[in-house]
Amino acid sequence: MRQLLFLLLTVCILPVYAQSSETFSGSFSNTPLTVALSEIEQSSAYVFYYEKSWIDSLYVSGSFTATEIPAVVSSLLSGTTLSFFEYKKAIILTNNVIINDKPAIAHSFFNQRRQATNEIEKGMVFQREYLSDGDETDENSVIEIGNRNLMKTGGSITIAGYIREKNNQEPVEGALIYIEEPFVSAISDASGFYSLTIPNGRKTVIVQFVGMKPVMRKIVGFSSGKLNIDMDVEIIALQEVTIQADKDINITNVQMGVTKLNVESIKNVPILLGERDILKIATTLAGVQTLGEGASGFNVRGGKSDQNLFLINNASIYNTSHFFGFFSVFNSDAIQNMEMYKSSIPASYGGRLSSVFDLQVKEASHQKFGGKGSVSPITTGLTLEIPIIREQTSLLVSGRTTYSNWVLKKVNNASFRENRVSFYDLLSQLNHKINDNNLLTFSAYHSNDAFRLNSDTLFSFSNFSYQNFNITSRWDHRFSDKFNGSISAVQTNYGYQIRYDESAPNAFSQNFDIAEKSAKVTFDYFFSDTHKLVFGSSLKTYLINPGEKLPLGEESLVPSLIIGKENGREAAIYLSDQYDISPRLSLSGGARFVFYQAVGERTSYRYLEGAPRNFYSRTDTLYYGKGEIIQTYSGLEPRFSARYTLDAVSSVKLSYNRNRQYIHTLTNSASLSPTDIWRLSSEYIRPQVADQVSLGLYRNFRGNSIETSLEGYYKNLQNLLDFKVGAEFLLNPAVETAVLQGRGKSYGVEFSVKKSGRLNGWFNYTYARTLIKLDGEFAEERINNGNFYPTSYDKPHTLNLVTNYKFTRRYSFSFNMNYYTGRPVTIPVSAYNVKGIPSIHYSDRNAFRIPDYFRVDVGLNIEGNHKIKKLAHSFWALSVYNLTGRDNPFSVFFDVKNGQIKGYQLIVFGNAIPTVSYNFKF
Amino acid sequence: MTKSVSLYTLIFSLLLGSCILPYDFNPENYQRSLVVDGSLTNETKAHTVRLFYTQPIDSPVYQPATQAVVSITDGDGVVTYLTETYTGTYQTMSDFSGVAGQTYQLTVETADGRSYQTRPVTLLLSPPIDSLYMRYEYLPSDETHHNEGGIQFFVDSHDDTGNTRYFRYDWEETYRIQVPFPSLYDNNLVYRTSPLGTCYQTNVSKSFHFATATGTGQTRVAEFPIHFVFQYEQQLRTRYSLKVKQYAISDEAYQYFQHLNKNNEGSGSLFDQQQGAIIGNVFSVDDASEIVLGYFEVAGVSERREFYNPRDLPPPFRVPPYLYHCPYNDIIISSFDSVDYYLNTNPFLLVYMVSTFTPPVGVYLASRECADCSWYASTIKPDFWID
Repeated sequence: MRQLLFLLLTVCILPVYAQSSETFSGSFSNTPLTVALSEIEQSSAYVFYYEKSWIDSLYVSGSFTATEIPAVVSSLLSGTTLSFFEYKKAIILTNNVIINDKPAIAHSFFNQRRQATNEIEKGMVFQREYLSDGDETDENSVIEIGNRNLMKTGGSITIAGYIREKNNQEPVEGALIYIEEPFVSAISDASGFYSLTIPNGRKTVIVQFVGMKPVMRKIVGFSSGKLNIDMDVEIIALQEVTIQADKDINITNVQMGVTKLNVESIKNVPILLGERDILKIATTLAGVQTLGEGASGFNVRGGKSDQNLFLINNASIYNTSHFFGFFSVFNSDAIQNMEMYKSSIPASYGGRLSSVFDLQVKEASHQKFGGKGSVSPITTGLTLEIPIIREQTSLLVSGRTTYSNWVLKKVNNASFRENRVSFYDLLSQLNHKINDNNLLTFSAYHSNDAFRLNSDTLFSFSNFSYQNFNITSRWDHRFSDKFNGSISAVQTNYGYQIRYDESAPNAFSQNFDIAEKSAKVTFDYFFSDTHKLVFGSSLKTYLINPGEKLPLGEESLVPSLIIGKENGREAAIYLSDQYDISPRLSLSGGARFVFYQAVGERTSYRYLEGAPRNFYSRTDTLYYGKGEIIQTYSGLEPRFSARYTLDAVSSVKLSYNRNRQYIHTLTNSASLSPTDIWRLSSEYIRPQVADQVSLGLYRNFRGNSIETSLEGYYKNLQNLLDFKVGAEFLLNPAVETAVLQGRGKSYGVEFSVKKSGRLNGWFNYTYARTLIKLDGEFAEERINNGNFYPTSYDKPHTLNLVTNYKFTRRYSFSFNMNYYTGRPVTIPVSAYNVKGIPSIHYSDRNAFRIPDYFRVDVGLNIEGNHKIKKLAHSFWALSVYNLTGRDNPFSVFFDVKNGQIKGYQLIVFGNAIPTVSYNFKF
Repeated sequence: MTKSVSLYTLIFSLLLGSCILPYDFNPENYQRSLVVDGSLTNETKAHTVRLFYTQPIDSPVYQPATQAVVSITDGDGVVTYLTETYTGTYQTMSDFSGVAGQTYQLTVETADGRSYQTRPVTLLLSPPIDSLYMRYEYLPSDETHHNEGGIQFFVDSHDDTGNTRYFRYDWEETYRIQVPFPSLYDNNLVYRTSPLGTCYQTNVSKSFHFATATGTGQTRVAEFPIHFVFQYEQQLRTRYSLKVKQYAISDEAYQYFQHLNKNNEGSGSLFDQQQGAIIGNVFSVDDASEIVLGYFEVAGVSERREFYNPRDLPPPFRVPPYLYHCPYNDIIISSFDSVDYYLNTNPFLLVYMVSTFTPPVGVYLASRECADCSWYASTIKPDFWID
């Protein structure tokens, strides 16, 4: 557009008188072009307009007999950089610029919906004649795709390629690639790859992605071919950002209950203790609950906290929190994005009932060294992106640590000076691009927490630490534009240690470890962009050391107590097929078949038939040799979802899911605790099974800037775990005597509204119930008379509001509000004395609730100046957590004093907590 | 004393300034259940079984189960009936004692005709306590909210037979109180035959203590922390005696008391164990689903007593000041004429001593806090006390 104006203004117009003849006959042999043109002018009615300097040095040859003038001109100009534009009897020569018969502005704004065949043809002529070496980054140029000879009238072609960032050639994942008429779209994958099937002919391909300038490419598609598109980073500072990517993905995606969180998008949410935490943000989404400040783990749609699968680069993480839940073990600076599935979990995932949190590590830039960091009163972190071989190999290194010990000393220096709290996490990822079709990724992750705590009795442990560790390797291979696959191998370890050395004769160390090894092959096959097949298989082995207690030091009299290791293996194959039957109806169906075996070597106890399983009913001890099969479970897990589009802005979706879980935490507390042990399904602990049906209604308003959804679900759960009163799991060689399994059900409705724009954020309300029924044969296996009762994480009403308002480009203000019903507790019903000790008698489990939770947070983000050249981009985040200082009880407990039972509530944050953090990027 | 503050609560409080507030709750559905609280040991004494019902939370009134028929049957089928010596309290004759290795079963028939029973329980012999000793340690104090120094008492024990693996302990501490200005004369200035300034106070353990003996063949309990006395407390000022009783209990009893203990000691952490009804070894014969609380403990007992003077205690132990502030300057030296006036106008004054020759001559009057302990402790020296 601009070039056209420029051309019109600068071309030196030379009016030449012309004759009225339509054709030209004659020949040139190394004739100067000026001479040739004036000869044509003289023999015809045509007038030529050109800039003299362009053609001064050009000489042309050719012989013509009664040839049409435009054909003559085009023949003469072939092999030069010149093009021409014919308007009535005027021929305007242009240099390296093509002129469409409609200006570009008309294409983009007036949006010519019906392009006649002849127009397509004409476009092709222009392309072929004038853009043989066209500049592919030019929005006005027309790009030829495929072989013209293969073109079929009215046929379809597939274009495929990579979307990359212009400066560093990084792949852009999640970009929306589409043509407007007919509307066909595709999303680029992790390597930036996309594939789009469109009618052939002249089309405008538009690519959009958050933080990038939208790109338009005019193409003429003859047959299937390649189109790589580079995107420029949008200089956000100068313009208000309009996030357009996936703007109607909530409507068009066939999957439901999926949320994608981008680390960039959480920048403005008020934060606690200076940490910007992607998992904390996840808890403000509909259907995700926590038990309160300091509780590890999530409850997703009424699921227990061990029913969530956390993956980082496909490796599972068993403990996602640092410092008892105040921080997540993921340094958000090193994370690209996180996908959370709470219903319609894809068939490629399995092994947990409630949800999948899939975190993708950021791929370091292949072009430019860069980094990101943050400093807060509690933690500090740094992430570096290091290119090793330009365009090919890059390394991401990220680390975070705490220096909270000074806080400990400050807060209560006299009494707790012996306490130590420390944690850190390290993450690195190496990417190597062999070529466009082969990509290697290696990553390693380690997190560590260590505490030294002074406590009230000499028997309490004083040193406690836990670690997550994993290494992953993956090879992505593209067989063709339609078929790609990946193979990966993962090793995950989690473990904790307790050390007690205050009393030499009683000094001991105790540990727990879990090691998981897995390999996975997965393939994607795109029949077309309306039909996609995903299939693969995975193999996993588990080795669990449920606990060892060993004497520490020579004086220790503590006997060694070693609970036999547990082995298990899990094999799965899966297939899923997504097919858009019509633009309105899209179906996705699949299944996962899982085969699980608990194997030796270990011992197994046998119990008396017809008696409750306990110490007294044990009859025999069996020994299973190494690799000997103890128990096998297998089953099909069907997954299905459907979307029906009601109109451009609304749709309805339905899904059904079955999931099985073979590994369980044994905990007698409501939340995940660091000393929880994970145990495998065995001859006594049956796998947990969940069937979920959900139905959702989605509607967007105001140009997709407001997204609303209403989802309802019902879950039927089998073999849900709960525990006998007083159950003890640590160092228990026969956990089956403490575990109870029963039916559970969860159901709820989630309403959420999400807005983008200057005032942005989300609001959601969730009604959710989750109940369990333990109706065993014997009294000790029956809880609450065998009736359904609320689980300890049943919280019917939850309200979340997260808002952010941008005052200017540098200042933004955010406001959060959080409300939920208090969780159920068991309260005393009477009191009695045993041996002079006042005792409390509790009755029905979870019959009462603690007071409701309510919290307001505010935050202010101040961006640094927006000069382009400066050392580092930075921003300050100020926030106040629990602004109203409300005393939100974390839990209630009871005590007997002077024969009177007293209730107490534990408040974690009884006042407002202000925090300042400094974040920078270079 | 050991109201457990969990590790978790501790982190909260020390790092984040969390707090614990009272919580009013509505005790809704009172559940009335029979509680059996009994024990039989190898000591020769009247062994007691108490029968009562649980109390509603808002009206803690003792509800004894009276007129029940209570008997203990041993492994040889010998039945011993207990007599109700006090409402709800049933006792054997005072010359009764259990025998190690014998089994005992409790049978109860309440006045309303319901029958209850225990499984036969074997009486295990408790090995002697090898030693009772102490060390200076620091522990967090509920009173000052700081770590405070004090004396930690430990128990060591072993069983050569290896039969006993679980022990329950309780302790009884007795300490002598000596006021700074003991009242040597009564108000008529007559020398007291038994001075008011020396008293004895006894406390018993208010919580359960268990130990697991370790080892194969010979089982041992080593450095079991039985009791802690803060230095700022009064017990260790003059002379202190600690008696520890060791009960050899069954695995089942150990489990029961552990559960009961944890059930009682909520700390508010999410890692608290699931609370519920803690069922002991007494079952309803008629209705298996009836909840019967309490425990009939059958155990062998051994005990040990030690005495300590402040000078025996290891450094940095320092003798704490007397409970009340008693500076010498507060002593009123009255002339013999004015004594009656002082004593009549201030009933809290006592005669510390009388000086007839050494100046300042007069009657030395001290406040009750500083001259007398009989109003809060016993002046009778216990039988076991050795000075």
